[in-house]
Amino acid sequence: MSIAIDVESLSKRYVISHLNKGAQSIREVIGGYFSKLTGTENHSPIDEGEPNVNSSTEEFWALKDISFKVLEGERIAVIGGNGAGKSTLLKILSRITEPTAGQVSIRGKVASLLEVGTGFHPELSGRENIYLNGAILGMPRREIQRKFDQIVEFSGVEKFIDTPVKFYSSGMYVRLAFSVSAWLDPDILIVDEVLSVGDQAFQKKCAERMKELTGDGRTVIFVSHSMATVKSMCERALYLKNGRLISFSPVEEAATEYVRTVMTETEQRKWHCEHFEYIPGVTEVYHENNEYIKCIEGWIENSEGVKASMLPIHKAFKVVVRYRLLKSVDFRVVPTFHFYTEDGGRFFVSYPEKSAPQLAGVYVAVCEVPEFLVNIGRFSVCPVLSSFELTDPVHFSLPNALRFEMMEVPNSDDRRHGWSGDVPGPTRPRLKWSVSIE
Amino acid sequence: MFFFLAWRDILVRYKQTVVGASWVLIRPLLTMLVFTVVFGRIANLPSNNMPYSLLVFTGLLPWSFFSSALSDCSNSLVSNAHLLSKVYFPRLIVPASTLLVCIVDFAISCSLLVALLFWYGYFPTWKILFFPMFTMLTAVCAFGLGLWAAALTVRYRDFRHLVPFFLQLGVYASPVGYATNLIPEKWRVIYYLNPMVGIIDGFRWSILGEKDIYWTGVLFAVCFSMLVLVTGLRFFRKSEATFADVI
Repeated sequence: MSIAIDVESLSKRYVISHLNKGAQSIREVIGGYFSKLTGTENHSPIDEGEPNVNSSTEEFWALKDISFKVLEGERIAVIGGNGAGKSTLLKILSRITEPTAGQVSIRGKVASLLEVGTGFHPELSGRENIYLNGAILGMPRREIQRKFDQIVEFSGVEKFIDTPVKFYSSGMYVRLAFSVSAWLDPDILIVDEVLSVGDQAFQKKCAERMKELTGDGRTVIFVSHSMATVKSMCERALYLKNGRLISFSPVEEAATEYVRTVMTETEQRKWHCEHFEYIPGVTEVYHENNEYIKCIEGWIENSEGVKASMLPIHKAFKVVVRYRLLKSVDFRVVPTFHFYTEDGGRFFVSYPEKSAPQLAGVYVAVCEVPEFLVNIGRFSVCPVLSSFELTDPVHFSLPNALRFEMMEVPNSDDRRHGWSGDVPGPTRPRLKWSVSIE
Repeated sequence: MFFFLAWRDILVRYKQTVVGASWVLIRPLLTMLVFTVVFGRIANLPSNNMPYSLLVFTGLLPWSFFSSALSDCSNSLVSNAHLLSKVYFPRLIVPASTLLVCIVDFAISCSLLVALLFWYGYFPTWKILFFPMFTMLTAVCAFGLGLWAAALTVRYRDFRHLVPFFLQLGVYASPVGYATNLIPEKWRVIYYLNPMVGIIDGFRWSILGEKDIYWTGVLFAVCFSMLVLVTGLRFFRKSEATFADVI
């Protein structure tokens, strides 16, 4: 088979300017030339005290020394975290921007979907926008005419096809926009994460259409954060990290490697917090009353007993809190965990089975959360220590004390039945089912 | 795609307006009225024995074509930034389709000119054959300058303010509201450094059949236009590669 895309030691450098955001103005350029001529540097008051005054710009390599070859008809996924250079790579492959160094040779007609509805104009009707968008994506007018009915039918907005798209609901808008792209017919298709549009039914339709599109011997470059989608559609994956190519391997391997790296990089992520320590007067708490109890620390540990904030949904994990009961008391002390979803909605509250008056000492409360109770997504835990017999029942409460993320390792859910997208909702409980013929 | 972009701009232009496309006619007509009153009546400038409104309109026609083409071209890349950063296509299409839109407007305004000529009972001479040539000259000049401005605007947004300012001054520096022979002989050479002077002169000569015309000025306009077009194209092509990164 012949090579469709050949990329050789590709690099892309961006120059970021720090002081002025947005476009450079001509005064600065002239000023720059002037200071070069006179050999003096312009010290504006803002710069003073900065160690490197002249470099208000900084070089940034979005891609560094990337080489790979894609065979004709191959479907390639590009995976990696935010800022890994995925979008830059796609932009270079679709010729929107030029590489700073290196060579790219592409054989065949390329169509790139970096966004749905490129060039849609709000004042124009759906019909007019189909033609416009089609033309922008490189479809000849004849072809659009031929496929027009299919596009409209696929989008499901027949009734409003002559209404200006500014009156469309956002769902209708993206559906129409995606539909145009769905009927492109290039040799090489470059797709940035555009599948996540519309409602469930439409997403499914899109996924099917994408499979159809990618099925018949077309070369596809596909960027996605969803490992499940990537795995169901692609054979090999480019794994990028900080602008460098980490691996180019079969999709299973690359996905596993990616997920593993993400797991070890939790500390760098803002959301994640797998451990907290309570220091009275320093830690900001919602409620504290250190008369009887002092909370010491808390953490989340994965099924292997290691503190972690990136947790696979198919394994159980534990939420732990340690506290010191300062004196023996004749009332009950109840630890509870309030789980929240990322948007701040209370997800559920959990508490132990038994409680009794207690002796002074250090206690460890462990709550085991079973596998598949919490679905993919980000969650937080607020540990609370209370005694409901008291008039002021709450000893301690620390919202957002622990923050974790649930993720799905490929092939961990055996109930997917061929569905490759995300399973929605905050929980994915494994309920007892029976399906039988009457 | 070239035509689609122009088609889009034309379609969108007068959406949600009451009188719609009539604005193409109303605007020059009103401007002509104002200029006629200000220059012809109030300032009482000479009109070389022809209706002053006709004198104004023959100046206004190329000028408004030039100014709209230049200002639209220079803004075209920035206002289509979302396209440039998401799809690949020859970038030249954007200003070129903008020019096409302006040509359409110009053609409509021309019909107004025909009506005016009839109204005043003016019939053009053989010189009218040069009319398309002068139209092309205006287009070339505006497009050349527009390419420069467009490519520069991407990087330096200063041109967004500079271009309209120069166009505003240009109305007075060009013989839009008055006849060229108002300018004293000794200033002539400097005056004709503005290429639009030669172009407007040419228009008046070809439409109204004026007897004398300062050919050196016209020749200068031709050379100037060709020069800006060639250098504009080269500059545009050269800076094209980085448009998506800096826009």
